[in-house]
Amino acid sequence: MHDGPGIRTVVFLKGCLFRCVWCCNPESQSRQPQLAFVEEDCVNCGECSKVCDRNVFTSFFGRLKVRHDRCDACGKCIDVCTRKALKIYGQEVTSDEIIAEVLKDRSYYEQSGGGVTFSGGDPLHQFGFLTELLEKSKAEGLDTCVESEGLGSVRQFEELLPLVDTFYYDYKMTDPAVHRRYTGHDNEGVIENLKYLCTHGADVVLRCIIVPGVNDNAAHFKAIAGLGNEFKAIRRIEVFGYHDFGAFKYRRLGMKYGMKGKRSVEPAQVDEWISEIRKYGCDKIIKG
Amino acid sequence: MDKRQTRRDFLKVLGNGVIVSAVLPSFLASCASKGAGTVEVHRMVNLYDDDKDYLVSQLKRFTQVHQQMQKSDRLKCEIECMKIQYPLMFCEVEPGDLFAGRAKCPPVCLSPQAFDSGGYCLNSGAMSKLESDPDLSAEARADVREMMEYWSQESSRARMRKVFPPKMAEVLYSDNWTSDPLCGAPLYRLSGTQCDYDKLCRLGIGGLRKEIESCLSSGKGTPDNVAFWESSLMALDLFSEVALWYAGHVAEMLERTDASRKAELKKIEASLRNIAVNKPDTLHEAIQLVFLWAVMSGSINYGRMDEYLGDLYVNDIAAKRITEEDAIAMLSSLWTLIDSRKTTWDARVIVGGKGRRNESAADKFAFIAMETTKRVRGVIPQFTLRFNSEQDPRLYEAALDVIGTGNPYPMLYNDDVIIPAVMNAFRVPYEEAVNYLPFGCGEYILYHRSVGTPSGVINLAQILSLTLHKGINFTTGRREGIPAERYGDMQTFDDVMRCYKENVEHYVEQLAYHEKLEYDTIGCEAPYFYLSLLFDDCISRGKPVFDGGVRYLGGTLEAYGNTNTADSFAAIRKLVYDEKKLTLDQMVKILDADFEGYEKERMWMLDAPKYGNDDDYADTFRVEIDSHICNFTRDMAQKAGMHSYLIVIINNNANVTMGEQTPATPDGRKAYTFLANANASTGGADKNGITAYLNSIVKPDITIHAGAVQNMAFSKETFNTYRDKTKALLSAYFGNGGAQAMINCLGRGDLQAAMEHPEDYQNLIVRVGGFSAKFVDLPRTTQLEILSRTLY
Repeated sequence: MHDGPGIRTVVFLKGCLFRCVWCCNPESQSRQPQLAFVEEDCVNCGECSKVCDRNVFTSFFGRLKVRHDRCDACGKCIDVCTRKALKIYGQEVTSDEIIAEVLKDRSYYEQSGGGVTFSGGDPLHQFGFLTELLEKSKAEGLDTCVESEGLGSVRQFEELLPLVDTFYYDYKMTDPAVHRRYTGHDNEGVIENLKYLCTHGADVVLRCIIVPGVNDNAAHFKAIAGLGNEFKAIRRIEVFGYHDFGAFKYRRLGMKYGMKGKRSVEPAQVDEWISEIRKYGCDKIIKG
Repeated sequence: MDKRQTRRDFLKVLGNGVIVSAVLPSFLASCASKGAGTVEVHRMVNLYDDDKDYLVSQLKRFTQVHQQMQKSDRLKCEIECMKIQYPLMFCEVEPGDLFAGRAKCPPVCLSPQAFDSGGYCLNSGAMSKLESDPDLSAEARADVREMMEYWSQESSRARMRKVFPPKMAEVLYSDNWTSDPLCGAPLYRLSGTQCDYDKLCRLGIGGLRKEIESCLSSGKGTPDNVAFWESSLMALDLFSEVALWYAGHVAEMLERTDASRKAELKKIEASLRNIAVNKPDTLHEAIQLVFLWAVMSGSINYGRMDEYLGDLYVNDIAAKRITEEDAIAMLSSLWTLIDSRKTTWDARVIVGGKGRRNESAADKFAFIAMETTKRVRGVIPQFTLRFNSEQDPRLYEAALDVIGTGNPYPMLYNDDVIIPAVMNAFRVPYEEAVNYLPFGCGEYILYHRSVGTPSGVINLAQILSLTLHKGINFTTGRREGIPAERYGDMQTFDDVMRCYKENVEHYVEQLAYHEKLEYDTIGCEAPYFYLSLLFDDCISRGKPVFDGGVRYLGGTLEAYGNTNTADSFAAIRKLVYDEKKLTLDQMVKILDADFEGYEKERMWMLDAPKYGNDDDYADTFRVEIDSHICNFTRDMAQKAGMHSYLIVIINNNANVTMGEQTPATPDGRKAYTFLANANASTGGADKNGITAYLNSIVKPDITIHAGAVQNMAFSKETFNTYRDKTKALLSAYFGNGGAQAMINCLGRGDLQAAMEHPEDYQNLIVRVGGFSAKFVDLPRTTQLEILSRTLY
């Protein structure tokens, strides 16, 4: 619904170099399949520890402790966990398998002007696989979208250009230091790649998450509007507010949530931000 | 069927998740109470309500007429019985009613469909209650007892049971499918009639009379034909008598009413007087005529209303006799009267579709009927839209708007797919197939050309269980089904499938003969004049509807458990034969234990491929299960002596009732719990999203049965905010061969219910913001968050 025009199948490619502290899809950060543990559903029956070769599971004070760092996602425990408290995020598949699955819904794409969207993580993290998928999608005449954080080289985007109908491109922060602090990476490349796309015939939707206290400032708003005004290629800018709906996934994956305790943004707040950005003369902005 | 449903019962009816039922919990919450689970019944007032002795005296007369005349002259018997019955049946016009015709059935009555029976019907519960009524005189009490004795032997149903041939009696050994673990069971009603109300409105009583008189004066016809025509005229006389009787009562009432109500009552009186003789000249008269006729006939579906009321509506508007709002007020009253008949599982009102003689006027009417449905928001009528690629698209758009408000109506039927399917299933040409109509829970018939009452239920999951136990009913220990030697050692997968199929055929065969026997017995107990006169070709043939009159005498068989059975075969194939994780004997042992102590194995069974995920491993079993029973059933028509005999895979609470009698199944379903609903996947089993689900449900062949029901649920937000996408989704589904859709838009109340009963909402998908999730998978805090934010 929100990942491109029409009815679409979204293929999530695991792996991302950014570590945005507010990320709501932490299961997509690592390139490897990962074990998730839903503690609420566990009855500590001990079956998982019996089949595990790597001592991932231990019982402590009557509760199951999961050492995610030891797990290689072999999946044996999934087959014995009758409570379904364990699951594996991610699986290895071939590009042909993916395309066959995507094509099952071709009639829905045709009726709605939809197609396939490759998302992540950042799908460029598996660049070779991504181009393979895009080439096969194009050979089938599908509409393609790529959702990217802007990681990668200009050369890579050059390669993607003829294969992608619409880029959904994240623009997170303007201040390089803040960008580094909250994502672990510079934004220099991000901006360079965006400018390349915008000046080489790409169709771009810019997506901007606003996190209170991080990037809800006038300089960033001005920069967003500036990009919109400067580049005709940016068809639309989607602004949305931070939310913590993904927080529970961190717990299940044994990861640490960096925004713990921060409340989700009220929809009215997003409206306010949008009107502020519009003040800088950009009218392409909608609520994401 | 039991109307005393609790909200929770309805949830069970619905099956789970994405797939809910025709009528949604929040929608039904208004009629199902919270605690005791009883529906508050509005008491309609009747002539005998204050005088039970009078009722008994009239029932006694009714009984005597039956005793004296039924066997010697069933035609006159019906007329004489109906003369006694109608004053007992019709009730007072109530405040706000714009038409007369409220009615309730006396405890003994003649009707094609009353008290799970047809013909001369006995409501033994009501009779027992009457017997113990403290106000009753001793003499009347003795009469009641005597009548109960008589009718327990002489009701049409009892008479039919007595003439079962031995084989039928052996295979269909019990009627108690709601409480016994049966593989198949007979039903005894003559349901699903849709009369030619268009003819009634065009000709009126006078015109029908002329048609019959011309048959009589033709000098042709056997003495039986002549007797039928002569009695038909008497039936028309009786109808006129009823209309005038009612008009008289309304006139009396006029004297006691205040000025504001007087005009409405006068209109009712005038309409009744006119339609007693003449054809209707106005919309009001036509509605009055049709509803009164419907009650007299006992028919509880209302046909193509836009066709038969369209012209009069357009004329009234053109002549400025009424406004659009007046028409909506009339229809609202009609909807209320339809609702007062409490025929929750029927009450179809159909608009749209190919083959209407007056498409433009009919469309205009359809719009106001749509608007009425939007405003009245009742559980019935079951408002239905037929649509096709050549029709005015605004009708379909209007339908989506009504659905988007959370109304389960209109239900959508796709002509482009269904007409060719009906041509094949019923073996009729296009000109006949274009008249298909769904009745009841979704069975197709050919509008006033065919009958197709479902006269049996079959439980495929029960049959699979019987097969796995080599002919022993696990619950009762009774041996039934095919002979023991047919099983052999049942080692291979093909053996299991073959034995299952032979068992299915064992029951279908007798159910087919039963259907024909029902027409020959209950169907011939009376001429059912008020059906016969409006069914092709009864008048020209001079024969009653079920006794040689109707053009196509057909039947249907309700199949349940198709999905569970298909999923079970997938699990057997995968675990026993592909992966060899279990032997067949081990699997049966696990089922017998209802998975107690076998949680891991149950999980394997649950994790085996399931229908509804666009996964051919499971879907091909569903296709195979369906095509086997549908084709075998369809081929039984000729052997049993009917024009058609077809499976229906429909939507009511039998999947719950029968599931509660069915042992554990290899798809991981616990013993004595509900079966998947109609053509839906097992709740929670469709994990691949809506397009995969829709791709799966178009796989079973729809050209070999008489209807299968598809339920879908969307959140209101999704359905309305992304209307373009939901529309495209539906277009693609219908373009891919989707025949039908019952769509529910869930609101806030449903999400709250999902928090309380997550097991019933396994597949409710919500957009969280950044990702989508199954609502029930989310932690409670997030659920609350969503509830507080995104749904209205």
